[in-house]
Amino acid sequence: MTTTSTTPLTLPRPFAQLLVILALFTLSSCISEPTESFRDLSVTLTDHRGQTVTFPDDYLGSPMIIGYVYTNCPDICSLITANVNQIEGLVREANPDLTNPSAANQPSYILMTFDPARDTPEQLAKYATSFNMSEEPFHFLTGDSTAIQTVMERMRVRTSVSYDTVSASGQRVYFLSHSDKIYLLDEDASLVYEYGGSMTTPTMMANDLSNEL
Amino acid sequence: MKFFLTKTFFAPFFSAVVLLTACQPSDSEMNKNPEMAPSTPDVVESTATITDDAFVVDGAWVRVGMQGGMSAAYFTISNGLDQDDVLLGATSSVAQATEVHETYDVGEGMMGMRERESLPIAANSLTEFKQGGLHVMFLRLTEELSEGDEVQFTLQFENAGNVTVTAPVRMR
Repeated sequence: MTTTSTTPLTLPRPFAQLLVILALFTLSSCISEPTESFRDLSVTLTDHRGQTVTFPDDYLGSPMIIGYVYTNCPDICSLITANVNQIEGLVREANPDLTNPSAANQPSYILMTFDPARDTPEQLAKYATSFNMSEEPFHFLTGDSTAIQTVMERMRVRTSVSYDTVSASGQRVYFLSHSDKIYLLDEDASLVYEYGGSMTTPTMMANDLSNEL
Repeated sequence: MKFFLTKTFFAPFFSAVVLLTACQPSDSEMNKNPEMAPSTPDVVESTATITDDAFVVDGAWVRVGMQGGMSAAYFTISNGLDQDDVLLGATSSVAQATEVHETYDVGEGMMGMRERESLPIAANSLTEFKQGGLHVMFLRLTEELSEGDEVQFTLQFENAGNVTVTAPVRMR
């Protein structure tokens, strides 16, 4: 005896309906690929020059490179910072019109701290100076803890306190475990690429940024 | 609705869904896999080789840093002796505290650090201190370190004793 192709499935009706709906939903997400956008963050932060800025609003119109650091980190974060520095140099070499920091399509090279308690604008200014990155187009950003937390959660940068101790002089000393990230955003603050910040070659990231110009 | 509950529809439909779910955009499509990218050729090409009967620290350099901030020293320990050793610690006048640390993957996508209070240095081996791994950490620099400066630090070994290293300060 052969089963005809129109034999009904014996599934509970609501379950079957749910399966169809889920399937249609799955299909619909194939048709349009959503791009992660950070445009609506509109968070008030402070840069290392002490100026109040809105992120990412003040940087729209050109691509952005964003590295996530804290200044009490001796290894990974210094490498991320040095990498962002090198990306800027490589992009400027490949696009001579960017030699002028005020060029219309000048990208923004942002280092954002996830340790706002210690990384005040003054601290970031010293840190930037030690890397020769205190001038445009570099921006070191901090803010109040709520604002920073909002950005970090949205941008999926995780941190965790480790090695929490008190020094001989009574100062709290702590280190942070953290995600190792550099982001490339386009001029509308949509995510283009997410990189391992200390593990990706500046050359590759600079090429990707040049492609966005 | 009845049609959707027939095998005519369901079998091919769900096969299609299973295949098409592969086109769901995932985090990794925008994630440049670090394994695919060449590793950062950041350290000066290490020409360190193990010289027989010699215990040498070379290729040393120190990262720029702000006064009161942190920095790190990187180098290679080349133990050409037939004897194991242990790195017990490090000292320097360039910082308030100097420690041997290691960056490592703590899980959940985070990198962290841990102190290595006694690091085994095997006989006839090379131990690399490099970014993202072992490093000597300078906590709270007593002065700003700028490109072109020089820093001295001392490594304390159980057998080799104190080895003083002079290293240039570099951006990368």
